[in-house]
Amino acid sequence: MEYLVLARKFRPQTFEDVAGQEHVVKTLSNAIGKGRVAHAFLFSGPRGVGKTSVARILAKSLNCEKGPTATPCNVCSNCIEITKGTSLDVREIDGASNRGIDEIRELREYIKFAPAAAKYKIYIIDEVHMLTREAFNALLKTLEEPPAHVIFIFATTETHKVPATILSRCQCYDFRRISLVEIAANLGRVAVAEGIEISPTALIWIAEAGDGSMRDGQSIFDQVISYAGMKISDTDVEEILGLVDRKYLFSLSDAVLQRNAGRCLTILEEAYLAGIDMKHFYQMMLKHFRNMLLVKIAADSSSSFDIAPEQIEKLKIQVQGTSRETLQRYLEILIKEEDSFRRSQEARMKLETVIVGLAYLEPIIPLVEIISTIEALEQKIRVGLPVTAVNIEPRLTTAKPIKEIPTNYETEINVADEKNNGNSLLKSNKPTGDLSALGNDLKKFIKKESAILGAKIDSAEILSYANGLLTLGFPKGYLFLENISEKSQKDQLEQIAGSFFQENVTLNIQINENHKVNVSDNNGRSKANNINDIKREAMNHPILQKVLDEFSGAELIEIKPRTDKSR
Amino acid sequence: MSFLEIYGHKKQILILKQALAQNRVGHSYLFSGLDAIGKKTLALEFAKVVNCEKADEINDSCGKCSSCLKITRNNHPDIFCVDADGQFIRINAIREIQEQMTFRPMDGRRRVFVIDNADKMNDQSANALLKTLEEPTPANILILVTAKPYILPSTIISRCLHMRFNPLGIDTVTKFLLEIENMEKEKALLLAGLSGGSIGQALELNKEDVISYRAEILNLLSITKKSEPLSLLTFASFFGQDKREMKQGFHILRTCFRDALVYKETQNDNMLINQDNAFFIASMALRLSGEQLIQNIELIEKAGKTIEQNVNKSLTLEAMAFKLNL
Repeated sequence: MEYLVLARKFRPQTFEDVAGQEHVVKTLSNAIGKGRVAHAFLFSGPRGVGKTSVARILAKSLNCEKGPTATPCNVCSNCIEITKGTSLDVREIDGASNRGIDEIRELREYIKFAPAAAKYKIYIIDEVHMLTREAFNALLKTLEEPPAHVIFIFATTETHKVPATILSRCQCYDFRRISLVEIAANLGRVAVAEGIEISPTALIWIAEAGDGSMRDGQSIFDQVISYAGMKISDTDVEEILGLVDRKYLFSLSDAVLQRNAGRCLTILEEAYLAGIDMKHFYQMMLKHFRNMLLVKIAADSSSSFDIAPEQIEKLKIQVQGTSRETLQRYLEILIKEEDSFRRSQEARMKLETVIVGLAYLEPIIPLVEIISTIEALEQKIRVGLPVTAVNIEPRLTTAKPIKEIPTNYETEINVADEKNNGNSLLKSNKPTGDLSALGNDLKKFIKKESAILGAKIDSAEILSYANGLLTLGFPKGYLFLENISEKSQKDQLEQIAGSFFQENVTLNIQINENHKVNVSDNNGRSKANNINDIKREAMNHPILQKVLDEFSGAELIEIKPRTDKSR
Repeated sequence: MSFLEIYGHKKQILILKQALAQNRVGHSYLFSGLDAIGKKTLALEFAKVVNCEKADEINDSCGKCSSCLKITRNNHPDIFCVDADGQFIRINAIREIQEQMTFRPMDGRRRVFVIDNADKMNDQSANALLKTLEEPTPANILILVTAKPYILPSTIISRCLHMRFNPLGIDTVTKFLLEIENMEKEKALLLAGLSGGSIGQALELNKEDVISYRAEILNLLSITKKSEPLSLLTFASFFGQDKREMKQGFHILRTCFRDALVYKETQNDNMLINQDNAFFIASMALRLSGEQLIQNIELIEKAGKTIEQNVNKSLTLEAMAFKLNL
């Protein structure tokens, strides 16, 4: 007698035996009990959860000699024939091998004949998603209104490949993944029936490796039995299962988090010698780091992700003491390297480089922390030494905009009324040192109050300030000139300037016709342009030409613009 | 040949033998593991054992009965090897299997189908195999052999007894090279070290006479100095213009820097690929920082990629040589 693998030997033969699909089983048995059986069913769900088994049981229930019943007898000739797969009236078709339109046409030929021995002619088409488009379409009419004695049962792992027109003609049942406990319980029953000694923990491990599929669990159990015989110790199971995979994941990511490159390499070596495929391992790594990040971000609500609950606790412990930013960067690097990794010939070496690269990374300090440190510093400085304030300015600018722009965004949306101020085109071209220093302070203050306004008036220069009348000069054709002249913007500017000068300020905006430099430190480009202009002017200057003419052999070596202060 | 003559894979053989002894031989197996480490050899050996006339007594093949002889000579009517036809294993090949299965085995024992490179099955053929794989007719055994099990659909994997194969230990590869290939001990040790645990890789390396090539590269690497541009140019020109050779050279270079990195971080010279040059590796590990080594590996990788894209070879090589941290 040939040996049957456990998955075949312990295939459920009654509805009660089916594990974990109560919603399907109950619906079906009630339908049979009440005589409301549809003529077409579609069973979908992951591998090894009982689709084909339920299809066969349903066929037996309908064709059992005791009439349609939710509890087929399993002893009458019809039931036995179905179990053996020899029934004339229950045809199980491999949809993936017989997928063309010709096979469907043949099926339609035979469908009209009455069943030979039983009540119904039942067609079970397994792997139905592999039928060709033509085959599906050829089936449509038959499927909608088949002869009264015909019942179709489709089973598939991939419903999305089945056309909607087919789906709408069937009663669809979604099979669920089977829970760990149920698989373990089933394996326990198998162990008892086979007379095998095994500990409950080991059963749980096997069930876990089954990953929601009963057949996977049973296949692995089969293998454990053939490895270890009738008495199975926990270590046997551990050895066979390659529980190692996940173990390596945790230890490797731990080593990365501790930034211990040596340990990373040792673990990788071990994993390689254990026969783990490096490309696959990389994918798992990626997923693991993603899980770590998710657990870090979501903390308590992580259960809604696709992470096994028993892993969440472990992950939580693992990510303690690592900042979200660091995890995010690890994940980003892993994702970035994924493509080159896939193409790499030397998966192992590439993985080693990537992982060591990760381990070398300095941990990231969260931006919020940096900002608060800077702010604390700023406070100190404001109290103590105002002069050094300039030094921290550049660092501040990198951090500030990110924080401030969102909060001040509304001010920009302000609807402006069309009341435009007439601009006086007066010119007073005498910037003094005092005024420009005052201007810089004012600009800094405005920037702090409102980053957007600060940016807009950046290239302005203070022409005069007296008796609460502030005159700002803008270069001609300045981008924000119109915007800044709008009432709402002006009002805001006046208000801010008011709090700076500690009195009521009226704002006057002027246009600088041919503005001399003195803009701001940030506006490097216009300054440079200006220097070029000056140089060109100097070159063409008549006096220079005359000097060059007078002294033969004289040449122009350098043109230095005089700085504003020395003017 | 019997189980005893297979190199390595003691655990896997034990499982199969136990299954034979307990009469629990499954109908479908999946053998997965690195390329060229003996998966298919073991699959065929297993086919021999289940068909051997004396198998019931010794749980192994005798090598003398007619069945064993036929399999050794590759003309047994019940043993089928399926391999990729071009890029894929196509659905027709699977249909042939199914057709064969409708008959009883010719010799009356077991018919064994070995599907090599099973990952090359395309979508249609993999799906077509599903029903057969789950419930083949009696006396048929399917063995899927693959180096990339993760490419197979989970529906296939779930129907098989999945056996993983580890890379062979260096000593096993050495033993193979000594006994079967009659190599000198020193050479065998070296090749085994370079092979990464795969016999096929070791043989491939031997064919290309990698050893002397490697010695030259290492030698050159030791005299090349960052401060002497001429030596860098000599170094670059050494790799020549042949793409295959260049690839091999890059590989060797990469292993050097990788070894240095490993040595730097672990101080363990058992993990090195170039174990015979441990001293040279150690000196490099001392000289360069980890970041520099990683950078070197990346540079070489990038150069390899550019060469693949048919960029000017000399320019690429020279650019690489000048950028390397030596």
